[in-house]
Amino acid sequence: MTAEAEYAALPITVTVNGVKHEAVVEPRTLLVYFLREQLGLTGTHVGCDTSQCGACTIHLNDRAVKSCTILAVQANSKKITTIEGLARDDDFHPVQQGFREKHGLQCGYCTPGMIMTAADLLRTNANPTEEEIKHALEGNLCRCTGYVNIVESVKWAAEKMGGKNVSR
Amino acid sequence: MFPANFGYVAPRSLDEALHLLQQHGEDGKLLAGGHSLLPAMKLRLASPRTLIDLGTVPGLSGVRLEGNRLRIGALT
Repeated sequence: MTAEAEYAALPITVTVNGVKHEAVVEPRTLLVYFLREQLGLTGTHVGCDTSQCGACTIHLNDRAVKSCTILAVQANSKKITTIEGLARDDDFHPVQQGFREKHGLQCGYCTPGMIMTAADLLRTNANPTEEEIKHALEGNLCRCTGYVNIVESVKWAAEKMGGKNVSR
Repeated sequence: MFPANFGYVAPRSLDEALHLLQQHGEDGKLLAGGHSLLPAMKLRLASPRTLIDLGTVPGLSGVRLEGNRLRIGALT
């Protein structure tokens, strides 16, 4: 096998926000860049690019992951939900509503990642304590807010969801 | 940042993975969670020629009680 053939771009199939996409990607294409540049879903942000800040957080098969540290090829045949996929028609996801109600953002750069992580938390733990919320958000950094309103937003969302798991 | 170019293979069984590892020798690196390897590759501290993805091999994750032993799969 020649070196060129080894590095060849590969076909992948991914379902993103309910829509199936067939694409061809280089193995080294990171999932975050695939989503932003090939699919035009720019709600997912590149922050630190070193897996620390969480601005790139999305759901891969329903679990929150940092898309800057996942290859697009690793997402082959999997289901992805980005921030764009949380709302249903005109209805915001309760976590999105919470960030509005409780002023959980300022510049908004970390916000999609915060929301995706929180949504995953509430999917598995419908009634988290403040400590559990803070622990779940450890992988998401915010330079603006000081985190207090972010935690309040997640608490508001948990109450809004009334202990019921929202499966998206 | 993004890694240097490399090849990617997705074995469907442990046997296939082991065969690929043998075939690629020094040039092949296993990809599991990737959260040490990929950051290193993005910083160009590592540039393997081929990544062998263990994520596509079934049966490597899970927690099972086997007699009086608890077996935790390496990819759990």
